[in-house]
Amino acid sequence: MNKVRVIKKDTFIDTLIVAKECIRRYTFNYAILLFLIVNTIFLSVIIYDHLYHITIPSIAHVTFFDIVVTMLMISMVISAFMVIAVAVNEFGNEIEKGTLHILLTAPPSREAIFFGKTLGLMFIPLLSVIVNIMYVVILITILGFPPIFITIQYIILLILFLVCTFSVCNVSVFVSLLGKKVILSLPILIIYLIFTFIGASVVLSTASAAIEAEVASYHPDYMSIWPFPLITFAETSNSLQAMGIVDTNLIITEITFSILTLLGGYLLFRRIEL
Amino acid sequence: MSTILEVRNVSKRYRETKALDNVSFKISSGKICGFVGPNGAGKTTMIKIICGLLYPDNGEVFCLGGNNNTRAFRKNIGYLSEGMGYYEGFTVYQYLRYFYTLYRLPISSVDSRIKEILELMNLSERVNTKISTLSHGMKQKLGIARALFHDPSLLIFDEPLSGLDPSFRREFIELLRYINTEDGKTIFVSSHELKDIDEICNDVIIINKGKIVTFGSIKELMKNIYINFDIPIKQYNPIVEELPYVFPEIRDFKIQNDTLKFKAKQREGLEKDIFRWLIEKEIGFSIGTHRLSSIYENIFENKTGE
Repeated sequence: MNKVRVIKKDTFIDTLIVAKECIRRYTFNYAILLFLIVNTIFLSVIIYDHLYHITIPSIAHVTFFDIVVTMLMISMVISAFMVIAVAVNEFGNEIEKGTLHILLTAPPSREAIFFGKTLGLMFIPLLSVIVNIMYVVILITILGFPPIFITIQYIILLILFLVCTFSVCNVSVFVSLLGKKVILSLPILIIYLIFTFIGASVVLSTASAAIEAEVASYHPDYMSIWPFPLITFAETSNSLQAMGIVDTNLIITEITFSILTLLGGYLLFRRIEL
Repeated sequence: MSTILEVRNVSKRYRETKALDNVSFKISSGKICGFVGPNGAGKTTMIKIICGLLYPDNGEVFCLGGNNNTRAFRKNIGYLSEGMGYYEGFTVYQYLRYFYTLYRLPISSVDSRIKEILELMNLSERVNTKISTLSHGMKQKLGIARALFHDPSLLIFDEPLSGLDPSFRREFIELLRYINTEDGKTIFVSSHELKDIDEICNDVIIINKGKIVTFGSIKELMKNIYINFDIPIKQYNPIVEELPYVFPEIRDFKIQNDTLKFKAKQREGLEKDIFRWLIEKEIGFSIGTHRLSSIYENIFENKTGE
């Protein structure tokens, strides 16, 4: 019993160390700096555009909710690109370069290495959430404090943002491990992301009108959207905006998908032979 | 002497190919053990199974009494793969520090330990050099530094000498000897170059087509081993025909193109005795061109028939 506890403690500490080193490694090559700069520029442009009606002058009134949804969507796309790049580097590239061979002969167990690296990847969306919250604080100073239900909706969206980006993390890790080669996994993931992004844009631009016209009969098609976290996010933000409710089924489906891909990645990593 | 590594009945198959077939052996602590075989014999597969990178179909690996998939085992080994495993974007310092953290060694001593190990490897001046700019030989040295810095009991090197130029080769061999004699580390080193192993190792394990051909100490293996001699003579003298009668160790004696060709059972001082006899009988021969093939080559030829 005591031995099991020691092993669990060791695995936990090793996981944190691997996660820390993973973050340190992509911080070394300034990838995180680039990510923050791109994120900041995009968010600044969105706020400026929405407040001063540059690209869509016809919309006279832009709400707090509109701005935060667009901000989160943009952050999600940037985070997803970053997550894919880092995941492919941390798994596919390490398999190719043979550095994973060395890592697997170091004391951390396979569990600790897999979950540590995945945790390291999840730091990217967390960083994105922090940047978003900073911008929301700026927005509040300009527009004033939003009503309480909008604040609750924003918190729900933030949680959903994390769920969806974690999904992207898990999908990226799974595909990197399945493909083993960067040349195979990177194009698949980028195509996946582009499809997701196009889908989310379509949902955002057309679903709102459909919801407004036919609120009672509106039901998202779960099976067609569950592997695409960005679309889930877009659908949920629409239903929140139109009906003020959260589609729990959609979120549960997304969480299930995320857990399944994480589990799939873990099983692949556990049995991987180098 | 205690056993540090034990491989029991390990088999591994890659689809139709049998990479390892019921392989078993033991390595005693404090020795340098060579793992020799031609390309595709199963050396790297065996090493990867020992290190836990591959799973065997059957069999088990034990190190210091424990199984090879434990944290304690991984903490006790230092592994150097064949020219791989370097983060090219890192500097030498960053690379060693990265692994230092993973091994959970006291962070207060990181700088002094890295300095110490780089001095041993003669890489002190390269501490802030990017790995991508290092030569192959230097990368191999860095690999040893990484494998060694956490003070493991067993070092496992997969083809460490391949691709090294002669000067680096010599330096590397000296380094392995130093690590073994001064630090008391057990070293398990694979190579397809029998000459390399001949120079470094106390014990040898010979593998071919996934099966262990033989293993043991050099002294044991030298029993019943015949060494090939090719001794060019300046002029034929019928007295040379007496050579196999003077030395009963000699067999398959023949004279071909003014060259004495024969095999002789290994014993200490045999070459000297033969040369002395030739000089006494005033038979001119060219010592500079005589070929005495490596002991290991002979072991390999005798046991595998190749």
